[in-house]
Amino acid sequence: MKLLDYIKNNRLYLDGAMGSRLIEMGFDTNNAPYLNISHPEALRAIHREYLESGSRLIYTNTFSANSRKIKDKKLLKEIISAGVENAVEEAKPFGAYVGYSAGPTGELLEPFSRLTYEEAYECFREQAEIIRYLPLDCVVIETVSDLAELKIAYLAFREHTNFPVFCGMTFSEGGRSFTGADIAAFSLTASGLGADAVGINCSLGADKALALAKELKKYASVPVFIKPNAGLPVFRNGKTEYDTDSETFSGYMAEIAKEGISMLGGCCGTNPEYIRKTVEKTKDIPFTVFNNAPDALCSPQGVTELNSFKVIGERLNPTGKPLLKKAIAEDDYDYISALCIEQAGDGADILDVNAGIAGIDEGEKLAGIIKRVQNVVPLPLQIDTVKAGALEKALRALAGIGIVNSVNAERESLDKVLPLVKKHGAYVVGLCLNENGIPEDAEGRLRLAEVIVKAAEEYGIDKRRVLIDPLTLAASVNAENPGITLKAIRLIKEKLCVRTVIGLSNVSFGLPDREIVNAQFYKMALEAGLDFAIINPKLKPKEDEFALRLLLGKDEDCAAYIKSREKAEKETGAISGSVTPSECILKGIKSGALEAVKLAANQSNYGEVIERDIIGALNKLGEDYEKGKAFLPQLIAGSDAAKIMLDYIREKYIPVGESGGETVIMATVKGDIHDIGKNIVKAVLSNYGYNVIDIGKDAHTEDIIKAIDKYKPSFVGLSALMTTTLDNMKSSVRKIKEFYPEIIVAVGGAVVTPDFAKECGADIYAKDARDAVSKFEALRKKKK
Amino acid sequence: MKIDRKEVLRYMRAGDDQRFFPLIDEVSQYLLKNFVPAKSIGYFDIEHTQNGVILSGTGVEFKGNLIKRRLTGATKIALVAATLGIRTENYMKTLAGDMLKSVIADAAMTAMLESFLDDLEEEIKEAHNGNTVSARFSAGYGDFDISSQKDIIGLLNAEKLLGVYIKESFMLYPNKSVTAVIGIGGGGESSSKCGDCSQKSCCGYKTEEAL
Repeated sequence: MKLLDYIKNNRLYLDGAMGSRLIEMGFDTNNAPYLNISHPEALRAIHREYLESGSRLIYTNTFSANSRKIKDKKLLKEIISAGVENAVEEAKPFGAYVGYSAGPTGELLEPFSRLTYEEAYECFREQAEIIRYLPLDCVVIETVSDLAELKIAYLAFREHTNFPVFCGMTFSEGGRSFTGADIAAFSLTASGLGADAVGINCSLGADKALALAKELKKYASVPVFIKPNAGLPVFRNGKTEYDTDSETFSGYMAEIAKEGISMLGGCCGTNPEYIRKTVEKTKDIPFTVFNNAPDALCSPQGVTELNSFKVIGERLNPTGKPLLKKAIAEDDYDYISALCIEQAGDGADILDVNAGIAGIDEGEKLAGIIKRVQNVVPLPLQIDTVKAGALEKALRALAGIGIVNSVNAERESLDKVLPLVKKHGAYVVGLCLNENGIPEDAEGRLRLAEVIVKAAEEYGIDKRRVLIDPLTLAASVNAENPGITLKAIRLIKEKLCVRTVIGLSNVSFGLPDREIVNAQFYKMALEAGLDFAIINPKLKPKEDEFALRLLLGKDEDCAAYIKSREKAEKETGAISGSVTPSECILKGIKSGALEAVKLAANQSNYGEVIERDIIGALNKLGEDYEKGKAFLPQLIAGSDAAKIMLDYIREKYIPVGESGGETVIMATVKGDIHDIGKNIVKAVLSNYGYNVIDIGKDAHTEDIIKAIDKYKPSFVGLSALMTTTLDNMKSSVRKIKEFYPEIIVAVGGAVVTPDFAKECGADIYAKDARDAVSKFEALRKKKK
Repeated sequence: MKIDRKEVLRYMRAGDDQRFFPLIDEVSQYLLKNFVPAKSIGYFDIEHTQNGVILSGTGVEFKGNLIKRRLTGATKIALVAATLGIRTENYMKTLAGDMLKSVIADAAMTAMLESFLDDLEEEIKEAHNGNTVSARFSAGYGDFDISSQKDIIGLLNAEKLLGVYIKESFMLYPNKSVTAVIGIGGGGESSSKCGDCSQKSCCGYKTEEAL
């Protein structure tokens, strides 16, 4: 019987620990994979013990057999092949199954560390190629703590073998992994991808695994496995002791079995006795093959159930936003993340991600943004692109269940986009348009919606996963447009029983005070039954008499509405400001900064506000700091207030590219992962008009050189906090000066001294942010 | 475990500027609610040598005068690794646009982790009732070489159990992680927190007792 058939009808017993058994036998587990070749008899004995104790699926001893750990590819192949052979030979007489054990790469994935998604994929692909034709029954991915890594491993084995793939991760108490992945999100994602089983192993004892099993099964549409430790480890004189005995362990496993969990085994600290007792206590307890596929999206950090109206934040879209365009082009993920965090704070449930700017690789940019944002903001994402190639790159980077925005009713679009939606378990927005454009009436749009829903079903996509966008055209172009959209929403919901979504701000195109019209239209769309709105989450539904008339088609040429807005503008009196920009900076008042700068910029020209009010106050604060009258946090509080004001002026008055500031590249050197100090310097320099390109922490010399080639800076600023990384700072400075003697290099950080700066060849030693600004400014003035 | 406002101010080096208190409280509440520290502990009999001590059953040796002084007469040591977890790194990213909050959060997390270790040290003391227990100290203090941190991480399986990784530069990742050594038995000096530090003359973090 095939394994997948067996698990439909039987509880499947897995094996117990391999590593801790090897330690008991006197082996060093650091060499565990090599034992496949050097001591096959020991491994076969362990397999046999587990089979004799009742295991029906045993794992190969290949947990850490990957090329990140074993560099010699030929040897790796031998180790893996031998590991498979050892298990397969032992399983045969028992008629048992063998799973290929694939552990994590052992390195943290970007953005946590330097291992790229591509390198991780390669690491699993190599294993898949080796085992492809071996007599295995399944692949078990186990002990992974990053949901992104799990998806990468899953895709590699799915795309390069034909075996069933079981997905396992490891979680701490409370259902979070080290990297912050949520157990429900894992279950939903793996089920959505089409894993053949989902489960957890390691980390916790069987007592704590019960709560996790309950959570896991809630979101699983496949069988579930639980393989916990024998309690928590304590290390004594080089030996690892676990605190739960086999009797207690198997008691907890019986509780887990009562939850309907169909696959049971053990991890660290367990031995055949634990498995034997577990089998004894659970063999008569019935099990369930779960089919709980909730209607939900997720990010790695959490699940968003789609049980009510949802707001999709639209602001991460560079169209007409020069600052965001620049941030995307320069990979300024801080800026992008801040935008996402703000939308989350304003009430977004889902975030739209659009990187559509000319002259870039859209897929690369989308993937880059997704990798960062999904770890920072706990909201599911909607990938916004019309290019299938870019969409695929983005989906591969997405750890979670997201929405694809969008497909349309053209055959070509359906055939390119829908297979990707299916493969990644995503939801999809279907636009009611085709090669002939957008149908003029609601009935025409309904017909196209029907085409999309039917095509999705043909590709095996449940219609619950299809969100139809009947499209919104400008009211100023045709007074009927809003009414057509609203009618289409009603029709589509009624006739097709699918959900609807619109990007509603288009309705106000060409009108003044657009948010007034948008807010009114938002209200009307909700009343029509809209399920998702792609909007600025700051927008709330609100009545306006004139907007209502306009949207109902009762305001010819929008004349009454426009007149009402002109009147409203006159009535708005002068804004009353109680604090000045310089007070905001000197006292560190962020809350009043925006009002203060608006008023000041209204009353005098913006250049004066920058020079006199903002820079003037920053200089004063800097002097106070130098005199010891203010401390660093006070300097920072003022700096934050200044940033709010400068951002406002730059966004409103200064065209991008005309800031005229000098470019500075900043980084924390290789091996060093502290970046607060560097970020403070960055914030202060930005306030003084410098164009700061931050290449982050743990920056290798080649990263810095690459950035210099790209951005041609006048200054490079390097930071180091620990003595152990000073050598790296020295070699970075030397390399930079060797290739670019004209660039001014500044160094700073807790352990850097003026003598060290001189010794390594840097031009400037900057004690702190204030010192850096003073010295940069002096040099800049001298140059002029 | 708690987060002491005054400790946060000290780590911030903000003097005694109480106007930061509301923001410190806000951040502290968030941290205590959202982050649970994780730990791994090991106990090792030690053998005193010319250079320091050898950890029984492991072949690992800790060297230096600091080790010798702090562990004088001790028969055992406890090794501890603790972390606030990698999610703190993500949390710091969410604050990237807000430098003041970043600085406060960084300091508050340090205070939180130190408080967690204070509690742990207390537990170890209680569990070894009757034995003298030295104040905790870490690789990188005085002449206790920072490279020993790699041994500690390995002995406590901290990578797998806690998600704490050690870089070639011997720094821990996530940032808010520590390792520590506590001597058990014997009469080793349990000196002030700053006593052995080579930076004590120029440091801005000094505790009041050490000033």
